[in-house]
Amino acid sequence: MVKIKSYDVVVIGGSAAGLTAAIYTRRKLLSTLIISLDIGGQNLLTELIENYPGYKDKSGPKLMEIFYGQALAFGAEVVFGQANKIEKMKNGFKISLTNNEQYLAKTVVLAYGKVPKKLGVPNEDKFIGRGISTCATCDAPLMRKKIAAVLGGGNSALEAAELLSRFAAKVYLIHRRDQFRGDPITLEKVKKANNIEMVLNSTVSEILGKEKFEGIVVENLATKKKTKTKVDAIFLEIGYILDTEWVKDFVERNATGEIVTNKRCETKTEGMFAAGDVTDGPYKQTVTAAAEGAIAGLSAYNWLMKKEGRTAVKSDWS
Amino acid sequence: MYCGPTKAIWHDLKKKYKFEYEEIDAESPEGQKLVQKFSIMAVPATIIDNKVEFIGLPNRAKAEQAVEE
Repeated sequence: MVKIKSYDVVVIGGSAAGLTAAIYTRRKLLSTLIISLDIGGQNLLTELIENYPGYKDKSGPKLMEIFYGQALAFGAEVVFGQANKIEKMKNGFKISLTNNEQYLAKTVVLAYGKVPKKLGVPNEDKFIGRGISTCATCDAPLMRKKIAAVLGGGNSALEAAELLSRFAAKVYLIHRRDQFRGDPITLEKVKKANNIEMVLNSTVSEILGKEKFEGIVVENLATKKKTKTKVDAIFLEIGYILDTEWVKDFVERNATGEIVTNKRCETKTEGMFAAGDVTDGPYKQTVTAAAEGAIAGLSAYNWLMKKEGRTAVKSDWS
Repeated sequence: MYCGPTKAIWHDLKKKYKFEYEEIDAESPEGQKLVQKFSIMAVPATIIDNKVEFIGLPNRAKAEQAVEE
């Protein structure tokens, strides 16, 4: 029987909130594991952060690299993967990942923010990184002289198409509505590129290929006509979603699906805390996420100490 | 998206194991040659012994296993 590794705190999410929570729990010498798909989350898509105090003009990835280095320096462990199940155990929680790894935790901090929205078609997961990308900034240089498709109608889709047009031989910009939602100035740039073909009122209904990504099926939503289109890669720019369905048994959620927390970042379940974009806290900023992460980390520590009958951090400075 | 953490994993393993390691910018001429040769569609990509072993962020345990072999 394989022994499941156990931690005082498991933090789910590796961006501003999660990394800060881990810094705080490690400074209290609690064994801490961060489970995350990446380090930085949405900050990785931010070219410049000018309002994080102490860092005048750092890029999102650079700032997250500093957070990450700090969490590691204090001894946080990191596992890269997607948590998809939490079970209540006698002395805490069992967290399962999509790759079947499992971990035990006395406390859990939910800090995984928002996740890129998927297409929801078969084969999608299989071809992520092998023909399907959610980061045009990262992967555009790999598209030299190739054919790319971008799905989406907002600014990020327009910017991705414009960026890709500088590398790729041709870019299909596919959007389900009859006009784009992005800024007119960005749309003008797209229109000026002579290798971008706009495909409106359409979506991608299939991914083609068995072992290797071969293309997409574009469906016209008005006529229902489906067209097999050979592309080397598709870039999904259809936004981010809040995925709290898988933790619904443990937390209260508001109308938009955000996890309801109190000022101590506590959820309705004892020993489970939440921080950052996943919560119902206002003003989704890197600095507010970091602050909630600190509160969640200290609350997890307090909860553990009280449970063991030991002295906790004072709740204020009086 | 995963470049920093990926580099961190390999830098960390380099302290523990002896192996040759090189970081190549996908946009450089040398990088573009590798992109074409290995049909790389996403970065970071980790090539070990002439084979693309990891796309995106490697699982640390699998990365460690790869350098142990």
